[in-house]
Amino acid sequence: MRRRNDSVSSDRPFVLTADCRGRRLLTAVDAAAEAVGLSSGMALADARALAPDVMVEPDDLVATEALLSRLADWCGRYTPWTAVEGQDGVWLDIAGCAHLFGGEAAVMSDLLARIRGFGFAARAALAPTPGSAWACARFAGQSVIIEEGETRDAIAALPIAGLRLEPEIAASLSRLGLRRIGDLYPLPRATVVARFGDVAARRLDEALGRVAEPISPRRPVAPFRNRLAFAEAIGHADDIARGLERLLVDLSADLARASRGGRRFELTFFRVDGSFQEIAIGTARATRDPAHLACLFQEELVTVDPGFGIETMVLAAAVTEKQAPEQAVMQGTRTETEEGIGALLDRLGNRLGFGRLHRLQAFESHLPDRAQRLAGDNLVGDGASIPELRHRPRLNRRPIRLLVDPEAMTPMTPEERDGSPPAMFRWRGRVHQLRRTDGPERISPEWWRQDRNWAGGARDYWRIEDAEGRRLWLFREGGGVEESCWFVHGIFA
Amino acid sequence: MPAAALPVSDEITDLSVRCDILADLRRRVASLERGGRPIGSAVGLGIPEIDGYLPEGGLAVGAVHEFLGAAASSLAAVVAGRLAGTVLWCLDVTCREEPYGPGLAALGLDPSRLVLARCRGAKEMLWVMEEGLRSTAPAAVIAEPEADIGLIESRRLQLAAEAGRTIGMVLRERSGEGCLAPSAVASRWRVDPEPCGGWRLILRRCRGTVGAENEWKAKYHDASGDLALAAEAGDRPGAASERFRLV
Repeated sequence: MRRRNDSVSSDRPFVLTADCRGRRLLTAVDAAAEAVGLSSGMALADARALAPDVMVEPDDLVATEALLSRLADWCGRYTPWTAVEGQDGVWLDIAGCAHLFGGEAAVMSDLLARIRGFGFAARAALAPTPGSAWACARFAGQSVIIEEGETRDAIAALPIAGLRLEPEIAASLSRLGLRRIGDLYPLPRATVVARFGDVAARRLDEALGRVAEPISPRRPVAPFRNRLAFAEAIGHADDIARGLERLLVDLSADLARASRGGRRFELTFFRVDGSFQEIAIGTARATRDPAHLACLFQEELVTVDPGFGIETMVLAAAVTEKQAPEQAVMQGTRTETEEGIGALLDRLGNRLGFGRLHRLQAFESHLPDRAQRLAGDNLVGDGASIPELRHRPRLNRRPIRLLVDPEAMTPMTPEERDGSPPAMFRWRGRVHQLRRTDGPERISPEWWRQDRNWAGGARDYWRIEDAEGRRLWLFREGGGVEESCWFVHGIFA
Repeated sequence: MPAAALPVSDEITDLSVRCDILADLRRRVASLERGGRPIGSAVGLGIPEIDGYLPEGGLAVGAVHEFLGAAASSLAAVVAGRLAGTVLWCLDVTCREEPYGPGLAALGLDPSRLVLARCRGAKEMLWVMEEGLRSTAPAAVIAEPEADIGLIESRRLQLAAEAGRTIGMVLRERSGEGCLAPSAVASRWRVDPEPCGGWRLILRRCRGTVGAENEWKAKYHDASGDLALAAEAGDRPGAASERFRLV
């Protein structure tokens, strides 16, 4: 694919340039420039000599890359498996997708028509291997489809550069008269490796499909994915909602067949003008209930801008988990409570963000700030049955609120000899007069862990009650040291 | 509106019939006031003296209650601990005093039942509360708004609680003794810590009671897991809390 700017007048030659070792070289030329003999790689000075009226623009690599990435994402309307190739290509793996569009030829003509519609000049090639497709797209001179088994003959006549070789290797092959890919066929593989290096032989093997060539897709490919194309572009909110409903029902059936449920769903809208928008929802636990998911999408749907119309919607379950098949329940016998908590947490999570929902979880640690954990996964809990408290801790041993950061307090009386809390202290702007105390309870840091909060060493914890009856959990850091400091760590009542 | 034809008052001579009719009428009025909920959907505190005083025999489920005072969250934990199911606890994102599992467990609330929702600002917290209350899924919704909840908002919450039959508890630990904004909550309590480890419960107002304000002193017995009234005479410092020692 070659990127040309269609907005400038087409009869004047137009080129892009980049600085290369102190010279300005052409990096891309349009059809008019090609007609007057310009080609990429030529020096700008030579080009000006050939075509004095040439229009020159600097080649913006960053913009090119961004544009290609967007184009690759847009190609997601054909297949989830897309990737950017170099500076001028996009890979599409349409295995298993072509029938959705009426065959491979239909996919290719549709793709080319649309990309040309965006103002790009593009060529495509469809081949059994990535290597042969690469060669054909660039050197076949037209868009071609190569059937399985025809690869060898199809690329034989193409120039050796079609093997994606370094320019030096391609040049040295050409010097020896090996100008076409087919020229390499009769040579023994060992000879090719010995004289031109491993790369040339490997590229040939890849192009002919003798070895597999893995290419990573640009985005992870969701295994559960459904696509809905509209004969006529839609824009009305009701139509979008109805389309989503159909997609959800289909996807839910797919998930049910695989005994899986989704944790994250992504819905992509492809507009007629080639732009697209993606919305996503998360769920607190695996689900495939279309009605519930439609409800979650409802809030996001208002953000969708249909533009000039939406022609394709793609729904994917990006993250899935095992989910047992639903038990057959009689209509109306399912209690609301079973269904409800997951649904409620999903609604809250999609509005607040799941990072702001936590379930308290006990953790085996004697350090007070580590004895509970805030769990973001497993929000729904272990189900409706509430396990009996194994051991009910003694009242008042631990506060019901813990300060995330212990707050320093200011003693107002001299240090007690026995290390007990000061009889009067100031905390949060108020003076607290000690009435009762209980302690100390010495808690030492876990020596096998580095814990920033416990850098001060062992702490002596005291439970105190002030004159107003307020009960606090205090600790003194640096046991035994003369100038110890006191902190409030928790509140009881 | 009443479907059953009522006997004309002149004809009611039998005392027992009259009592039955009055009781029936009371039930109907009470049911209308509660938006058609059946009587008895309430969670008691486990103290006969207090539960008996409340019109429904406890804190009405499907209603919003407001707890003021420094020990508000303790009472909320005790109430939530007497219900089964998930408890949604709404905090502000800026809140640095987290509910602490080991302490809550001591009050009978299993911390694994607790889901914390951190809300950004009062508006979001009201939305979360309303969603939680309207849903039948959670057993209780506890929220600590930074500021007073207005009359209209409290009415909305009350309606949501009635729809979802979920109990809502609004905690206002920082609120002082001053005048409070009018509110549609079903009951308003003030819970302050008492010396020797008890709480002073003041019922400020409660829908369905007359001459509302009443005061109790309660203590929580961790051995039995029950609240009980603190014995007036047993308020001796040493005896009431053997682990504490007088300074």
